[in-house]
Amino acid sequence: MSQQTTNKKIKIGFVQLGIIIVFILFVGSLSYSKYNDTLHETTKSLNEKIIYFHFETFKELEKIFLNDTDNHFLQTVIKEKTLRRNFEDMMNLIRISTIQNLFVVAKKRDNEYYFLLDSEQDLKKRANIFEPFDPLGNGWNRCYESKKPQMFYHTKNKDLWITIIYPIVENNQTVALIGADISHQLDINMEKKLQDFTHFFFWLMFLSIAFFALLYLLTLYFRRKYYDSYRDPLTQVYNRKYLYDVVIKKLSRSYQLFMIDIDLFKDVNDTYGHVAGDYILQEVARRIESLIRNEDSIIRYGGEEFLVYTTTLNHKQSLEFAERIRKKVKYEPIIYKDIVCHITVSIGVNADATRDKSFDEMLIEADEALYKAKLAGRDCVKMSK
Amino acid sequence: MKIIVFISTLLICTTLYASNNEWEGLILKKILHSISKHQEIAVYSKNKVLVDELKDSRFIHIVEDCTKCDFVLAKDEVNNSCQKPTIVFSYYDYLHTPTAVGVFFWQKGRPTIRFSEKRLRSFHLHVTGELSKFVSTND
Repeated sequence: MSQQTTNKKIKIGFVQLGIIIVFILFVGSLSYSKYNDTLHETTKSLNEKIIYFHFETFKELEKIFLNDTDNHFLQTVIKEKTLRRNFEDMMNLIRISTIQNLFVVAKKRDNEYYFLLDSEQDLKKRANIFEPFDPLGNGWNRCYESKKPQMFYHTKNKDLWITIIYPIVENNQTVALIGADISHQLDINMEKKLQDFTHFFFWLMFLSIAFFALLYLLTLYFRRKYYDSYRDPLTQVYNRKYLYDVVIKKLSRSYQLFMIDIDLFKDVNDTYGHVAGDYILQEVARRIESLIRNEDSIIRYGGEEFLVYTTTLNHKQSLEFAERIRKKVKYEPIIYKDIVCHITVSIGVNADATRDKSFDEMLIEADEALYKAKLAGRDCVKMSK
Repeated sequence: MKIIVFISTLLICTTLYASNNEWEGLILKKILHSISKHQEIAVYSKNKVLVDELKDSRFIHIVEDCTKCDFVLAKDEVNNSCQKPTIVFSYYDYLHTPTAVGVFFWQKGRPTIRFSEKRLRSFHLHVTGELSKFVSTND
């Protein structure tokens, strides 16, 4: 309950705020990382399922192509325009919204690829039969040679795409390739969701930290206001309100009260003026404060009267403590500008104060002891009993 | 706020447009240098976009008179009156223009380039460098 407690509490507040911010950042980062991983895993698994679904579809398509052409796919498709149109219509039917392009290409003897079938209905975008096809990458040749489906990711028009190549194998020979450009919408959506979440996360982090910082500053402000209301503005020690609002409610089972009065303070005021008087009050308070412990309290009780509240001293220690205060004030004169003031204090001690009796009663005993000290010629310590 | 959105949209569109054109311009310059006998190339085109794509080149000059050019770039309308080697931009034009020595177009999001060996020969031209693989004997 001493004056130093305020600063300690402020320091503790800083640590608490730091812990809260670190905790928010830790939990936030953890949940962000978890969300990111889950999103990627889900997307990966969905992508695998989608690709598997496409492979299965193209497998069926290959079967139909070969059955309907009696295992002479290339020759029949080139020769029969109606069949070609039927195949293209069928391809258009199975072309779901994510498939941007679905076509069949074949290779000439000179290794040039050309379009055979195109599911595109728009005449402006449509590739006609024998129109050249320039494959990008080695996937197409690899598929031709290995007779195994191929898949690769690439960027097209700044977007992510997957190209799936499925071979049409006739008599153990690749005769054509089914090509499908699949819009990688899932990954784009995932990226967008992640981006949205990232924005949300950073805003949340920012607002949380800002909220706690504001809360902390407000707490600090109100705490300061609270302590200021219990402080004597001149000497910066506690005031009488603090004694009755705080100390009296937390009284120890046994405690000690030291009533300290500056001797002949009225004469000091009259001789040197009120400014000097105020300075002397401040200096006496500072000297008493330098002798007390953190758990003790010093209160400006009246004009030139201070009350010290302690809890752990016995009779002898109380007397010694009061003597230390008296000597601390007396043996070093207070110098204000060019004026050297020899100040003494009288102290009345109630070393046997107890919670079982009323505080006012205990205070009166200390006050009576002080009165005795005054009567004894001032500049001395008197015990209550 | 509306002004900011408008300016941002304009910037994005300009950037996208510029980057696509940049690509096309680079490919076109490469095509012209591959088939030209001279380092300095005179090009005639009615298409303003194509002209814009090429005008930053030091060796390619845009001419106003079709008869004074080395190559014609015919994107929207094909004019055979000059009887100059022509680069076209659709496969249909390539098939139906006797002076079309080469074609460059986008098909299924892929750039496609073809040169006709027969027509190149008729203009005493041949393709050099890495684009020579696009020379076709079938057309």
